[in-house]
Amino acid sequence: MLFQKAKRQALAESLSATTDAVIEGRSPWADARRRFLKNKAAVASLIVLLVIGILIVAGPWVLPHAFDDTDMDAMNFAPTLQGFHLFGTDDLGRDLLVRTLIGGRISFMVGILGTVVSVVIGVSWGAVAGFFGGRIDALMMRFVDVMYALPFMLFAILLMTFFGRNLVLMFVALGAISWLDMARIVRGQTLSLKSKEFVEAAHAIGVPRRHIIFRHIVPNLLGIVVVYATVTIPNVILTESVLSFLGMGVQEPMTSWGVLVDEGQSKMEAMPWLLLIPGFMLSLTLYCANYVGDGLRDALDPKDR
Amino acid sequence: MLSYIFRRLCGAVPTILVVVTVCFTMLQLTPGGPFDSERKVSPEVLANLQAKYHLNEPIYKQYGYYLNNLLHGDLGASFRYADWSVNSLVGNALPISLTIGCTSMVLALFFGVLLGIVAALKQNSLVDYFVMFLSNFGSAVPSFVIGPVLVLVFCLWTPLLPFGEFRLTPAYILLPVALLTLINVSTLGRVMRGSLIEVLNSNYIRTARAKGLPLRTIVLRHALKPALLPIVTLLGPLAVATIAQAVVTESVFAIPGIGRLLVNGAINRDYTLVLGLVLLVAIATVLFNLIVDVVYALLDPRIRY
Repeated sequence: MLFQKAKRQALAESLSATTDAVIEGRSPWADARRRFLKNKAAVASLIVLLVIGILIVAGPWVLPHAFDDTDMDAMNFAPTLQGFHLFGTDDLGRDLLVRTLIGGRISFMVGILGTVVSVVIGVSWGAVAGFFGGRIDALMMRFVDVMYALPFMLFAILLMTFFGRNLVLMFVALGAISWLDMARIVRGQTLSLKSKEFVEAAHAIGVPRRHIIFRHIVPNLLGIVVVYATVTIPNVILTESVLSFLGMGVQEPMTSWGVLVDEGQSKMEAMPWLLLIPGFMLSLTLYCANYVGDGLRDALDPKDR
Repeated sequence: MLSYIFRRLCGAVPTILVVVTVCFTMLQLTPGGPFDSERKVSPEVLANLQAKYHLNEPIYKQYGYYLNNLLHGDLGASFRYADWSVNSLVGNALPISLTIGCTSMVLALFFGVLLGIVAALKQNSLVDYFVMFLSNFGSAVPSFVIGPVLVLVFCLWTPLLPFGEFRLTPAYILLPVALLTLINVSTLGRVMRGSLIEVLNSNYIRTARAKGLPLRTIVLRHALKPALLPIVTLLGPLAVATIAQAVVTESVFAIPGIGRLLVNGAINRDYTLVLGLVLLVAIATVLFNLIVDVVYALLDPRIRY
């Protein structure tokens, strides 16, 4: 009897072990991770971005100069070891390496914060328009169409004059001009989610509409939103750089890669490194961010498995 | 077809009106006016100036005046550039932007389609890698980095090309045209490659192969037309962006074109100038989209209007 019980237990264990082994499939996330890791260009780009990220966070602490320190004895230095100005200095004797790193911080922050803002606006706008449909949808999407028709730069400039004084508000403004694509994508997805059974069920048990949108529909949009957000980050960085390049973004003595390229351009004949180094950093970051974005898209949203 | 074009043009009028109205409202809402300069103007002079441009009257009246002038083909007087009407400012800038923009669009169309075809026919060949590199390069490296580097290499380090006050001669427009072409080729080449690969995998192309048509005939007679459709779609917005919104290129090469006029107008709060340019861009967008739809019908016999 006792023996039989032990035997039964062993059998049950081995059975459950086999069922476990059967269930042990690949979760969608593990699948996505595997696909992403197989994409060598994306992984390499991610590593480069991480290195840049560590440098811009840690670099200014380690280096002996501050980004707004002027040094009258070290003006217009070409890249040199003297006084540890590895990337040289500008015409006020400010160390270009530290300025490039600080500019990178601003550019990264703009990219991330601006994208968060654009995600919040775009997802809410698109989800509400798609969910309610009908006249509300038509009105909201017509507004998006009008925004598309306005010259992007004009809108950007006006928002920058609104918010330009304050760095954080400026990031918000940059996000507020890049939500249009997100709104369109989310609306399309919401339209198809709306007719799914679980939304119908939620309706049937009397869940308020607000909850249906933000508790049931928005979480299901997450995948495509994450994918599209990674594509938005380099775009926001680029927009900030263009505005800074035109003299409307970040103001001196604070700096960003766009500001540095603008300064470098005006002095490029005598001091080309002022243009080439920040320009290279900005280009490298955007190049890698594009690859990571593409890799994530292919990994999370594969059309043909 | 003619009635379709007529209907489209009639439908465009309200759209353009909405765009102008939204832009007018946005300009009025943004703080600061055209006469807030560093130098303080005496209150009497300011009052006279405001009276001259009707700025002291209610906004709806200003809007009425503007629309009335517009109906007479008059875009109003520039607030910032005294003695200049918006018509003449735009008239000066438009030929320059049109010359540079159209030249680079034609070149980009030719090279983009050509490279895209070769890359699609010989996947994983050198040309293919070149096209993929070019499209990544063009979408990642900002034009305000490439532009100054071009100036540095071709104008300053080697005196091959002139740089300085802009004149509408081949030597001066060579670099800006090259830059804009590069940017557009990167987009067009990638799209052409993708769409041709998709078309070449379709059933009717397999049929054409099966009945033994030579590759040349298959590509030129059967695959090219449908593969060109996405390119045609892209051309509308791309052309508007290249001609009217090439702000960065224009400021890098000191070109007095439409894009810079718009940005300066927005910064200086030159209401009439900005409105005039927005109107121009909106009309151009509508016209280009119309042309695109007509070309669509010519390329694809399934589309009927």
